[in-house]
Amino acid sequence: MTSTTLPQALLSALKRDGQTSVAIVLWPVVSEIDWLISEIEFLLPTGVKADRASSVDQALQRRDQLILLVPPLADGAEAEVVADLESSRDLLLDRAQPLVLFLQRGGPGMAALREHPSLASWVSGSVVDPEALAEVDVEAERREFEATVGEAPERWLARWDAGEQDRTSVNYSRAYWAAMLVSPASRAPRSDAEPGTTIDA
Amino acid sequence: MLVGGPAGIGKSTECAHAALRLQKDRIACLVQLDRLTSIRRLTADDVLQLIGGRLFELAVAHLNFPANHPLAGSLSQFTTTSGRDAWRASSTMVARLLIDEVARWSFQGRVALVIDGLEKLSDGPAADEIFDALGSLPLTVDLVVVVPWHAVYGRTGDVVLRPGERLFVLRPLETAGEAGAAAARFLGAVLAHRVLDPPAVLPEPFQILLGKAFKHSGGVPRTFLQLIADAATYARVKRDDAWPNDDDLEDALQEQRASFRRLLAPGDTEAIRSAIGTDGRELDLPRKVRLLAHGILLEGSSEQLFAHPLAPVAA
Repeated sequence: MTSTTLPQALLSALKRDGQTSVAIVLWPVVSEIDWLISEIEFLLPTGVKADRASSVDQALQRRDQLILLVPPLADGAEAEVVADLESSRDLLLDRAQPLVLFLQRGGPGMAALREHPSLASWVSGSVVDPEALAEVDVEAERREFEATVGEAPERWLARWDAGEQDRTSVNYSRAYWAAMLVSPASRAPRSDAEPGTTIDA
Repeated sequence: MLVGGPAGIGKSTECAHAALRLQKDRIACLVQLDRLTSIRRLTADDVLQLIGGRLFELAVAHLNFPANHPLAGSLSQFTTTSGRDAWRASSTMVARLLIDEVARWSFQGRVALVIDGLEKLSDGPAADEIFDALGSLPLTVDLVVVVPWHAVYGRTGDVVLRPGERLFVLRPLETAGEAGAAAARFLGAVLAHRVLDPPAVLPEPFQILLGKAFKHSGGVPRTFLQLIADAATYARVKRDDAWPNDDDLEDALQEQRASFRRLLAPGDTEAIRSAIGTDGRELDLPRKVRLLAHGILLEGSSEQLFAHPLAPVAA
């Protein structure tokens, strides 16, 4: 079994329930919210627009867009959004694109989820925790990468960077996996990569 | 009849099924409140109005009930500010009148309301008002109502809706023995119906995987379906394969274990361990309600509690 990378975890959460998927992404520090949003945007198919919202009402009004729901950074805001999402959960069944809720890792929103069994059950298994995913055993991962892919991560990544690998969802995940295992200094400059992995692929 | 049970146990599915089966000798009206509005802002008047509107639609669509019936005006007034005030004054009366009219109009002669979504109501005066309003509906209407977790697991013997009500608590499916095998086959058939077009028998290696996932699900249908869906997405994302294998299932299990772990509050682990094998009477009430509502603790057939297999509480 291979460890799960961030793109794999995001894709799994976004795809599981199709267009009605609801995922939670846990941010460890405020400055990482925008980076996490860019990671999700990178996975979107051409033509799918991600739109940021700060309340459940805003999210419900935009059924055709993938919603990145980021509660305001204010006291009680995360808990309020979690409570609203719990009581509006079934209204999300009409959505045409997934919804991603951003909550602080170990913060008030996650504590509020303990008081909202319906939403907690809905998102169970679809909570992406980048901090936990980043805890990797590099040597074991290298062995696993080579056994799965058939070559060393440096070599595979060099071919990816040279544009010799197809831009499929599996290869995007492998690129992320390889990049975790390769020293940035040893990596060649990237060719222009085209976003192409789709959450519907 | 009051209906309760942990999240993901199948309350909505049972309500839909009940509405279908009741149709034979009643006008059964399924009102999925949580698909119509935010439960958090729901008032007693809203509930009666939504029930009235749904029953009216059903009667017009299936009973040839006149769309220009005098009560239609009372229902539509709700959409205006002044009408909302008028409705508040008469919501119970209009709902009663409509139920009587529809019952008289139908050949079954009786109305049953199957009301889903109220499990999300918080404990407090708003919930009490809603249940008082439902309880005030005429005794000639049969009620099947999903009730909040605090009314199910924190039950004090007080009447929720009406004297004579019965509480039916959905429990997890057996995962062991002959009953467990039958339940796994049934859920496998549900899955095949969902994922195969046209529906067919699932390949054998996948059936073995289903059996493993079912045991880990604790007999909670939603957990089972999530495990399989997660495993299938990992198969696609990690290996570009259409069918999940044991590694993909293990990834899915880890995700579910992590989700259960995040739901545990300080003191839960010890409380769960001490409650296993009992009926949970020693648990403090808020904790008991929370653990049972999440399905972290589950009620077995003998009313003894057991921990969900994916809850990280092993001694």
